[in-house]
Amino acid sequence: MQTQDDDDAEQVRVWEILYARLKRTLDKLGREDWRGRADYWLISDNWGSKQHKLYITNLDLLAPSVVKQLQNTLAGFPDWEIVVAVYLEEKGYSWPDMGLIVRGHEIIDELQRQYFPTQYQGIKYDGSRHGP
Amino acid sequence: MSSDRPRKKYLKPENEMPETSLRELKDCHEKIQAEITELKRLVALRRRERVSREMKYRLAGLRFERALIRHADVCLKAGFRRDQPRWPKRTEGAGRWSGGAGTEAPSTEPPARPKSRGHHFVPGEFYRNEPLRDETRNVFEKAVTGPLRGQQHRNSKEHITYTKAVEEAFEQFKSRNGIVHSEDVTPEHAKKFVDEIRNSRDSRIRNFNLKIYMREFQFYLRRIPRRIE
Repeated sequence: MQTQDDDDAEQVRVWEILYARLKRTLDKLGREDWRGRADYWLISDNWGSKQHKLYITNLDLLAPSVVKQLQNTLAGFPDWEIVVAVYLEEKGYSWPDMGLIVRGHEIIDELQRQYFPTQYQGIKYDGSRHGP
Repeated sequence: MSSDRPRKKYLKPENEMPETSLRELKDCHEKIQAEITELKRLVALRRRERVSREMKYRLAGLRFERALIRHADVCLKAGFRRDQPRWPKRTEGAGRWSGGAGTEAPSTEPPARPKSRGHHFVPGEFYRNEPLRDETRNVFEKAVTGPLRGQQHRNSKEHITYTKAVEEAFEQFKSRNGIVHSEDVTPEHAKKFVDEIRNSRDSRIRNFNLKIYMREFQFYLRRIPRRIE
């Protein structure tokens, strides 16, 4: 019988695998800074859910090829997801909350492109759907 | 002498206020005063009630947090690992852990990332990067809610804002305590700082922590079986 402790141990195991995969992937693409002064911040607190949270602080990392790479890190863990939040320090709270939910089989697009500079407004993700 | 002259002499009899209306006015004034006093009493009462409600709310939050911390502490002390070997079947001590539980040597290196599960009141990103003593860093590492069951990450900015607010609060804490270098922050200071963060009135910190507690409350409330009368 699967107990809560087994679930917890499994959650920790997968969380750590995915954290390492994501870190490896992101480090190739940019620099991490938890104050939002570089390209991204991958939260290192494991809250206990089947999620990772990633702050994108450089819009270049929203490119479909990058998001595809993030999606690939979830291979083998179909019920896990990456919550991607967009945060630009200079915009602060003047931009509403927005982001993506990246799952192995889909991307939920909650970006509000009207706020983006023109060159980023045309970003599209294959197999994505709009969030609520 | 003019001073002997009665004061109201210049008033015509029709302009004089009748004795009855003066009494009425006085009565009215007294009534209004009584009402104001009653209102003041009510306002004070409401204020006391509100403060009491806030205190109860905070107390409940702290009790809940303590329970979570205890749970996390028990898990950590037990040191259970899923992959830990056990004594084989049909041997003395079959099924028991064959060593390692809670015997792992304490690491002197700062952790690559927090090992405890849950929300760290002082975020790992912050205390790992500060030049702190190991024992001070350990206090921050242990200041964690324990696994959170009711939380889901959203695409909000709260987490990054929280971390920045904690960093600001730490600088203020150091300057209030006459500490120049982070290396001089003692474990006692760290405990005091964690308490400050838990009870912070900074909306960026308080709201984030409260939201976490609220979601956990809701999660556990939903799990309590409802009694059918």
